[in-house]
Amino acid sequence: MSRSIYRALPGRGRASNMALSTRHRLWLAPDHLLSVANQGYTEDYKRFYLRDIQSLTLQKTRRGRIINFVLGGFALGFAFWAFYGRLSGWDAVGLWVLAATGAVLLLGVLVNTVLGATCVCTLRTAVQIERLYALPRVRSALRTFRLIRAAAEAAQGALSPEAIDAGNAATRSAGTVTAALSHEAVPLTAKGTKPYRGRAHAALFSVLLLDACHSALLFRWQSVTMYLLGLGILLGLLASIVLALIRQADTDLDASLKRTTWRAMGYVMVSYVLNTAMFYVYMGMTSGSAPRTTPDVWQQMRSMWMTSPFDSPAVFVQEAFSLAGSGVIGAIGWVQWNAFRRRRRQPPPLAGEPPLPVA
Amino acid sequence: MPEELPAGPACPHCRAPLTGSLCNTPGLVHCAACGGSLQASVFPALFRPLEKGTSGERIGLEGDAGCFYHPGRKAVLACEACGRFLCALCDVSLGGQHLCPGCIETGKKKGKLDNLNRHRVLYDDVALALAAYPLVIPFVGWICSPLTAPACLYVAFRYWRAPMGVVRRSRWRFVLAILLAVLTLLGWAVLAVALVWAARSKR
Repeated sequence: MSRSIYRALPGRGRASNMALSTRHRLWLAPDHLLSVANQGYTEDYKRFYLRDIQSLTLQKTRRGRIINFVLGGFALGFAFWAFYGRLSGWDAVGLWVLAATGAVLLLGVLVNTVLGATCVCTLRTAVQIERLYALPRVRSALRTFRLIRAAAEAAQGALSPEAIDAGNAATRSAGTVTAALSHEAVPLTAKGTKPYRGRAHAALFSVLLLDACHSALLFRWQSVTMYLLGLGILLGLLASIVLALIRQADTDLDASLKRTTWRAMGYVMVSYVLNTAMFYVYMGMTSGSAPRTTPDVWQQMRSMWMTSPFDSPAVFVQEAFSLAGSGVIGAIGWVQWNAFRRRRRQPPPLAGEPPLPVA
Repeated sequence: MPEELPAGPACPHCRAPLTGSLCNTPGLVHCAACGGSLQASVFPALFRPLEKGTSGERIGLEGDAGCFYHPGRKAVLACEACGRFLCALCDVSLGGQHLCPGCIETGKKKGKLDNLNRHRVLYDDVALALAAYPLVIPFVGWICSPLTAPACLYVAFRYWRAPMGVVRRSRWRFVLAILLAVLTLLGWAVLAVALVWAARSKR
């Protein structure tokens, strides 16, 4: 294997693109900087030649603190919930589930704190400003900037503060320049233009809202029919997600709507894992309580279906997750879909007129 | 979306121009206008005027060689891949080489010019996913594994020699995928033999 010309730079980051998530990393070659965007099974590359780099900027953000605040808040909520459950005499398995969820959230806070402050980094050339998603943390970004700066200065030479001031004075008369903000306008994958009305997405978000209603009703009514109805809704949800994901490829659908569809996919997968785990937890609880008279699987499933969420924390977590997840994603999806439909109905602006404001 | 930017270095948050003392610092500094923490590294290319394109000089003397693509233009050098004479307009400098548009097009199609590669499929990751995911997804995955394991072996052997990612990647994912797929198939074979044996012994 020939020796690679690339040297890995510190920092890895993720960005939501058309797909669920894209992993980004920077590599340094003797004459260029390579930005690699990994989408799981494919990689996209962008090269920035060192002689063309005009500037690198780092802007510290509050994202890390907000994430800590949200995760910490939820962790505290789960801790209080577990405490309340203990006082109310809930079974041990449910308390462990709540405590473990709180611990995972707390671990998230810890990891986020250790990784340090967050930032947004950009690279500017004569024709573009590219956001460097590979550098989401200040610490690694500073280290990477040091390495890129050394390489770029070796290719172009260094600028003293006086030279920068002189350059500023000389270009002040030029006023402003127009550059394409590629991190906002041009994603790494080519933007599709196929027209699409979004019916599959409307169906998906309707089924999600239906699922939320079904989960809400399960807090009041538990029966085998209700659970079979839930199974039907789940199958409908899977079919509509697959259909929406197929239909949205290479279309002019809003990126936010495409992201919400992928999030719905992620939610259904997490929900499947959670439901399977809860089923085993419930099986373990019922088998453990009466080891000598273990009922058959159908009896156990029937008993779980008939259990009120208020009687079992495991069932409560399952239904609350379903209600919150389906409700929130379905509602967000509907709002985005309606905005997309309204925008499509508006006539395009005439030549010379300013574009219509985007809601 | 095109956006108006100051010609010199600017704060990424408020777009206020940055003075020289705020640029090329080792750590973070505060923007004088918005107070945001930032670092800006500025290079001479920012103040360098854009190079003007050249259209190639017309042939003046009778003995001058003409460009292969523009016979009326004076050739200034030869393509380092095919040897065709090129004018200043047709000369493309890429990775330290001077190439003609034809060779660049061919190189791009055949994937021979690494610097023009913008996209690669990672077949080793595909093979590993086909082998590993069915094993970790309960029920649905396990049932699908007799189909995904042969598919994994097909992908692994078919694309073993296909170009990997641009940055160096070893083939350990292919090896692991093949190993998992073979183990899965062996497991199913053992299960099938055990079932047949159990059915026969019952009879």
